[in-house]
Amino acid sequence: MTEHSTELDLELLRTGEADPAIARHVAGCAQCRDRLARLERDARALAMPLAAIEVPAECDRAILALARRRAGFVAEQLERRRRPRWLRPLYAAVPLAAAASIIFFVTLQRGAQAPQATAPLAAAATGDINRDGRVDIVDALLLARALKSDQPHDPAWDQNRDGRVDQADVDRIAQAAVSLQRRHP
Amino acid sequence: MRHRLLPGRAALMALALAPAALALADEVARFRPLDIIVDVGDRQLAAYQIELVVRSGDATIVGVEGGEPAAFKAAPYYDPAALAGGRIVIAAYSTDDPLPSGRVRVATLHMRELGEAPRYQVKVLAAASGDGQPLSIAVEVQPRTTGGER
Repeated sequence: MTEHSTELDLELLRTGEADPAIARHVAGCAQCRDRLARLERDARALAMPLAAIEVPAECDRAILALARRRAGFVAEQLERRRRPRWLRPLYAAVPLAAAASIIFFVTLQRGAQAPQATAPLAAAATGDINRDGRVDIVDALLLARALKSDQPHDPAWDQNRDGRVDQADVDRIAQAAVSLQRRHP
Repeated sequence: MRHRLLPGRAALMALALAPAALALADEVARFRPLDIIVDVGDRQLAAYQIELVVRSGDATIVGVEGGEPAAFKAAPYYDPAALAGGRIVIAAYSTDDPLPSGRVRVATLHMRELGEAPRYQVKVLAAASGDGQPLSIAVEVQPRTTGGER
């Protein structure tokens, strides 16, 4: 064997699976012996940390949660397929009817109560605190006044959805009000 | 032969005229503060939202500054994208007590103007009194005469 051994040959030799001819060549070739020695060192170095690796508990939990979600989705799809075909229109009609009822009652309530600029009690998370159909600096003012007073905070005022109602939410509304991306009246 | 010399002559002329052209451009470019003044009468101003647009001429917004009364001393809210452009919406509110009334300089915009005096259009988008009720206010732009010429 005149040619030097390939990486694969040396790896087979390291694991004891190489052809005897390769073993003979490596025994007589200083260059291949060096390469084999380097390969053995690398293999030892790689093996050590692998044994020490621990998967964090959060990682485990995240993977499990993902698997559960996916399993739930698959189960739901299977369940859907099991439902009788003639009942399918009903499944669509029931949520539609529920949504229509909610919209109807909300519209009725809004008609009965005029928006009160001084008491921003039920603001949507869109920043329209006084519910006048637009987001402007008056909404920021009303929220700032509510924060300054002892008035209990409506969770709907949490504009940036960080779980708190604070100055950052006021700033967010004010910043939205002056954005050039918006169409101003 | 004549055609071969022409580019060289043009280059020489450009070099000779360049300082003059630069001096001219430097002369007409000026920075001018625009005071935004509102009149709320005898009511108290708690919030305003105003839009300013450069209607004609060459002008760009280069800075935004707060107003005169303590309640509106801080720079108003604005979209940073407005800087170096010709349109801006500024807004501010205050929960202070007392709030300003009468004629109030609520903000100052710093403009870079070129050439003839540009025309500005200003519009009130929203205003409210201390109790959050809508307020009818008048607004005007007042260019300061002490703008830095350069």
